[in-house]
Amino acid sequence: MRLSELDEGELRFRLNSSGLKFGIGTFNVLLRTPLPIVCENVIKLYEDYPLVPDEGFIDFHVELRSPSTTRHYFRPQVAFYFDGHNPFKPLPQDQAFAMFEWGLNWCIANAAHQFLNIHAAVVEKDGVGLVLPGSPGSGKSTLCAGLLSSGWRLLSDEMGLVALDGRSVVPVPRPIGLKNNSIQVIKSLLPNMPMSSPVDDTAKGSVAHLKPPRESLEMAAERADPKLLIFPKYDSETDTRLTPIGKGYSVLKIADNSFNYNILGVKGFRVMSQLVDQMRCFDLQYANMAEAISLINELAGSVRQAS
Amino acid sequence: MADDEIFFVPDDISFLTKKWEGESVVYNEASGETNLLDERTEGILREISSAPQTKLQLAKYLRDHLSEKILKEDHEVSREIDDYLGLVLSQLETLGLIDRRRREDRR
Repeated sequence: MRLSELDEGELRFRLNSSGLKFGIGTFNVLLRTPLPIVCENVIKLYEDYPLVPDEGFIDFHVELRSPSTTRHYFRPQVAFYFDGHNPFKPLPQDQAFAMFEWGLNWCIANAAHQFLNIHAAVVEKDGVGLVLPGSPGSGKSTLCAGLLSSGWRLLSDEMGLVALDGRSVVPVPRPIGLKNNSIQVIKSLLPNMPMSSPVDDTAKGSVAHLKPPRESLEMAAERADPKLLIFPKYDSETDTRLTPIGKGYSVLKIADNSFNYNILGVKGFRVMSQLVDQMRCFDLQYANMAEAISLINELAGSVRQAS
Repeated sequence: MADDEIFFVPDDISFLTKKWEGESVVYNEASGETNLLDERTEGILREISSAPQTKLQLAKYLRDHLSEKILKEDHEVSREIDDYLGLVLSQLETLGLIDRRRREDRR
């Protein structure tokens, strides 16, 4: 049963009382919040996600509400609670939905050590899993959203969860976080995909979240075989080009973009080595989204033919 | 070439290596660090790992693995190998993968 099968009143009631339980790929989340901005965006962007039955195990108990200070009377704020703890400073309340997404990232990064967790978007098309690691500002999420317009399915926008045998990537498809100019770029490219209203003046500038395609959620139980590794770098002044890079160098670059490589120790090295072993590795500089997508589709075609 | 030192992997150091064409990554279990080595440096580390080596022994290993074209300029190569080995061994020491002792210190 999906969230969309409950009427809006019931969804709001659950969110505001015992909590709404829903599945995000391999994780189950319980979210409680009385804040209308979070309710509206959850209903809008998570409508295709499966509900978790009452007896279902919950990985992350999350609550967003006003912090218990008097400050909220003159400047409303939101605080994020995970298992009753409040790990972050409050934010202005108009950033509440973004805080839910960021906070959930933090939960997964800190708890999900049954995977090698890399800061990467992951998409898949016709059997070719593509891992796109990147630091903030690299254009990773924008490119990931752009690839969805070209028939790729979303496994992850922020966190690539690699199984500990190093041979597959586990889907955790969530709304794609977009920033600043990329919001308009993706609105033009995917005009029919719902997006949260942009929020200005966050620590990351203006932010909005894009709803994942329903097809990606329907395939959320299907892992992908990682066959391509591309480190994207958006640069408006450059030509769009793919450059092959060494696998050893790729290991170091992924390790730099991993949340728990060091925590996993020897196991992390083995997973990383296996992961990189089975992928062709590239740097991508891009200024033009259409050219980047075309190059990636061409490359994926050659990988498909070779395998 | 000075040959009064022996290079070795300390007992408390163990590492994992993954090789690809032209480069390798080495994971130092003690420090948790991962390092990228070129093929030749990884070969030197492997030699030292298999048994403690003097610089002369490592120079011989390098000569055996260098191409014939390079070996033609013999005298030049000897000096370059000495410099190159000094650099590589110093790097491997800095990475905590090997150590050195004087020959008379051998226990």
